[in-house]
Amino acid sequence: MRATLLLVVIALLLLISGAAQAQEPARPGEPTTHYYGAAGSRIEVAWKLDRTTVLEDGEILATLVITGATNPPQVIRPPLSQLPEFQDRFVITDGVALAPAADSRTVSFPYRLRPRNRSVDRVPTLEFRFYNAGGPLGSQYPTARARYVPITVTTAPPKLAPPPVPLGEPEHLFRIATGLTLLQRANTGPVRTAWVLLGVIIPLLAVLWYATWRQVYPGAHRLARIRRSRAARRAVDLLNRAPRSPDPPAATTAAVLGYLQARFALQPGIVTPTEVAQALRDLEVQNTVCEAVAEVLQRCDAARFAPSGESMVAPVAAAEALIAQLEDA
Amino acid sequence: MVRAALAILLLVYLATDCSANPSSDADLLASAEQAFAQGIALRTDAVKARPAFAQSAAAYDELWRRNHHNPELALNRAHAHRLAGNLPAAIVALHEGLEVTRWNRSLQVALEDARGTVAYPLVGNLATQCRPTHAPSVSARMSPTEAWFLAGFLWLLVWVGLTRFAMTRTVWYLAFVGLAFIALVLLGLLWRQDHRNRADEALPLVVVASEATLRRGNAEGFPARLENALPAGTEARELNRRGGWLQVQLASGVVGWLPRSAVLVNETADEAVG
Repeated sequence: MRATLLLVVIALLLLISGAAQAQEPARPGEPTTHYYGAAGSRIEVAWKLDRTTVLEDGEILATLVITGATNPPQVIRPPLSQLPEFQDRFVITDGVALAPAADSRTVSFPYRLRPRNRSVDRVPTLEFRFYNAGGPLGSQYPTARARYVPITVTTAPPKLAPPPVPLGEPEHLFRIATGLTLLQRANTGPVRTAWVLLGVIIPLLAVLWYATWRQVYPGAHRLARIRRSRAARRAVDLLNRAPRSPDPPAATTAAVLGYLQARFALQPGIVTPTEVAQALRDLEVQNTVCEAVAEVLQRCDAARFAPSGESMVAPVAAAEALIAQLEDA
Repeated sequence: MVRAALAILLLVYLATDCSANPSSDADLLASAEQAFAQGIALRTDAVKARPAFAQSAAAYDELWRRNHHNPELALNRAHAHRLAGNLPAAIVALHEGLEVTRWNRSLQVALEDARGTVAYPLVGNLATQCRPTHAPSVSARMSPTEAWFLAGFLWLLVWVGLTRFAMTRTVWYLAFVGLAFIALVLLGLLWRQDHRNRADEALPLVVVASEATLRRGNAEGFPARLENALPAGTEARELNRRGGWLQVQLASGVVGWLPRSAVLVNETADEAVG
């Protein structure tokens, strides 16, 4: 049992010591700067640029080529962005490095360098230290240098102004009113006084019209008043239409007879001027009125039967006057 | 003698003072028209033309501030602002013109045209919520002068009919009078109803000047009232003010808060509220 425990402890110790041996021990005198893990007896480094003239805002593809390394996979990329001489001159972007072939002794690291200004005139020298196992003690870390490469930064061509874009607004927006009328105040409508005047003046004008009409046509006013009598209103309406009837004298006679029949209750058979005058006398109507009635009817008959005829204006007017006289009586 | 000299001096001063203002107004108008013409000449290049139109719009605005209120000037202002790329200012100018002559058809059409160019999002119903809808109203179709003439004509018909009835006792004239009177009363009722319907327009107009989010409270920390931000040119009515923020109501009735810096407020209404 005790022997077993001893074996386990020994095995653990062996494992721990094996792991410690697997790590690369730091070699004595290994530099802390410009050393990127390369080993070999004769290593050369150089810059390879895709161009030496670049626009102010352009980029250079700079490739650091390391040849003669015995351990290409272990060589790490020099961090240019941490080196002041590069950082001050360029905006640096690391490119994608291709893995070196198994039997190759060369390794490349591409960088994209954008000059910060036009005064940049070179890709600076890069110091590259490497490990030379065969070198004399104390000189096992010689320095190789990638020599600087002069470059020219030219002014960027002026940016072309974008082509002009026309205004796309509707055409009617480009038309405006001009002239001093624009300095006038808008008419916002009639004032309150205008409304009051409108309300007052029109009735006044109507009253004035009516008064004038009464003054100029007093008979017409009287006729209007008697229209209150239904019989008279009907008779006057018939008289107004009589001139347009086929037989105006007959229509006038009918209107007068109709009125008399309604007003004095005359028998329907009484139609001649003489019969009508006599019937009215029988009803104790004034003699002058009876004669006037007879005269109007006779004028109508004259207009109706006389060879020459009589103008219808006079009988109609006489009939209207007669009705007005009877209404006043 | 001294008094006479002083009186003459005073008259000369008044004459020059009175003539100075109209002259400067005319100059300002001329400069506005000149800048507008320059903008038209440069219209093939929007970048160069817009500043010219902006200069013209500024001159027209100044004339409007000097109380030259008429629909033609309002329309010119709106055109200049739109061509300068300032749609919200154009909408405000049209509203100010319609406050003076709300029946002016050109201003109404221009306002609808301007509203149609507000960039509401295609998705959602923001446009429906924000676009003002107006029922046809008598005051928007008829000027007070036209109403005065129409009312006067109907009133004249009423009295002509009454007078003719008094003259002839013909009943038909009474029917004629009745019809004219009914038309007159109808016109008055429509005008009164229209006046009542315009009560909501008494609230000051607010136009969103730059895209802004309508919030539930008067601070950036409050959540948004609507999913989308209000685009420039959206119209609303101001309800309240607090701490650099305006409480506004959209056409749909939605109420929320907008920062004062993000909106244009109708100047006359702004003074009334302030």
